[in-house]
Amino acid sequence: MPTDIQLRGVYRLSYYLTYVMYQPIHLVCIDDRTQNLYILAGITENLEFQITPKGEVF
Amino acid sequence: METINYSAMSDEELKSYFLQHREDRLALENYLNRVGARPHQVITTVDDPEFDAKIHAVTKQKILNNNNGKSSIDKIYQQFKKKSLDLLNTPWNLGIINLNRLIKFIDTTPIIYDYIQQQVSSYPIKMKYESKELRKLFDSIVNEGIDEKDISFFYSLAVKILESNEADKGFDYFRLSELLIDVRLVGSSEMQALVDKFNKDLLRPYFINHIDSHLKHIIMETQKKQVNAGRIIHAKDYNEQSGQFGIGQMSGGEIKDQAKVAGVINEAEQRNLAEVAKEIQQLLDQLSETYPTTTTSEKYEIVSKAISTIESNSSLKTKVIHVLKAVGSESLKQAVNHPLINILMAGLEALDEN
Repeated sequence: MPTDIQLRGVYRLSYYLTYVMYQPIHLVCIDDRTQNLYILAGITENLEFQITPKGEVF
Repeated sequence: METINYSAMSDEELKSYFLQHREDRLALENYLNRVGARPHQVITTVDDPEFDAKIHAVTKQKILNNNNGKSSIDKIYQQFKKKSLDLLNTPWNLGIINLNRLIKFIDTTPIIYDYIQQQVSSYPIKMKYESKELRKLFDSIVNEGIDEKDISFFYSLAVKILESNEADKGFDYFRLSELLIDVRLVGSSEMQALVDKFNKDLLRPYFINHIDSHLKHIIMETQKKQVNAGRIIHAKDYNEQSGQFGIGQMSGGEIKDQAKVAGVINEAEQRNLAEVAKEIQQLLDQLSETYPTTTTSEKYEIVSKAISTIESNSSLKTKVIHVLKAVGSESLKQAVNHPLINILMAGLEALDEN
């Protein structure tokens, strides 16, 4: 399960991507190895983000 | 069962593979491992008040490049066109339904709704208004000639009509028209004629057309940004251009080596780029029609055929090398609209080395 801060992050990112920038989100999942939350978005599937369990976004 | 060799796929291929094969957990894991191995820099943290701005600064360019802004605004525009035409051509007794659809669409489309809300505060329109009073208000607004006020007036009026549930729905749109159009001017007492006149003389010019041009303006701005984004090149490469595909005159300002230059690829370069992109695209289209493109190895097969065709055509080969030098591989990649271009690029870049 994602941590609380990851969930907050996913909301902020989803809001930015879908509401502000009109981008679709294709996939949200947790990378079992690192526990990072991974997001794949963008019309051409070229936007990728990860949110670490501590809430860093890259 | 066929085993899949993930390591033979490029990052892009693996990405589209796992998106199409969600059941293949291994593909996703493989991809995530690759992503994890990439160097990365933390953009921001979740609770940063500047979150949106920082994310935007990093992703803006990617978003502009992938045309997405354009396609979604285009889609919105199409939907707006359709819904407003439905209303403008409505049978009088369906007017209120079509009005409802249009207003609902506007309310759920931030790009239009925000535009309307930014404008002057809504008008205190009461349904009990005497038609005379309302017309006076309308005349004074129209006389000011401010688009935003016109829009605001009609929007407030529409919302008011939709909220009022006192009247018979079938008649509401007719009543709305009757409020602002003098029946005597229509020359016919028919309800349809009155509604048509209201739509044609008032709703279209003072409401629909204003929103229409606002959307068109946004579309144009988006396109401009995309063109500029696609044209960012390194001045160094730019200055090294020479020979047959030279850059010609450059106008305005002085450009230092390594400086980023936006929007100044000159016409000759653009022509060369367009020409080469077209030839490559035709070649790829042709090959994809003749040969299968399902598996990765089939894709590479086609790409290798394309490379050998280009190699054996020395004039095309020279052009490709020149264009790559002049505008960079990214611009060429964007100019060719074909799924195989990503794989082909590596081969094209290697042409120069031989």
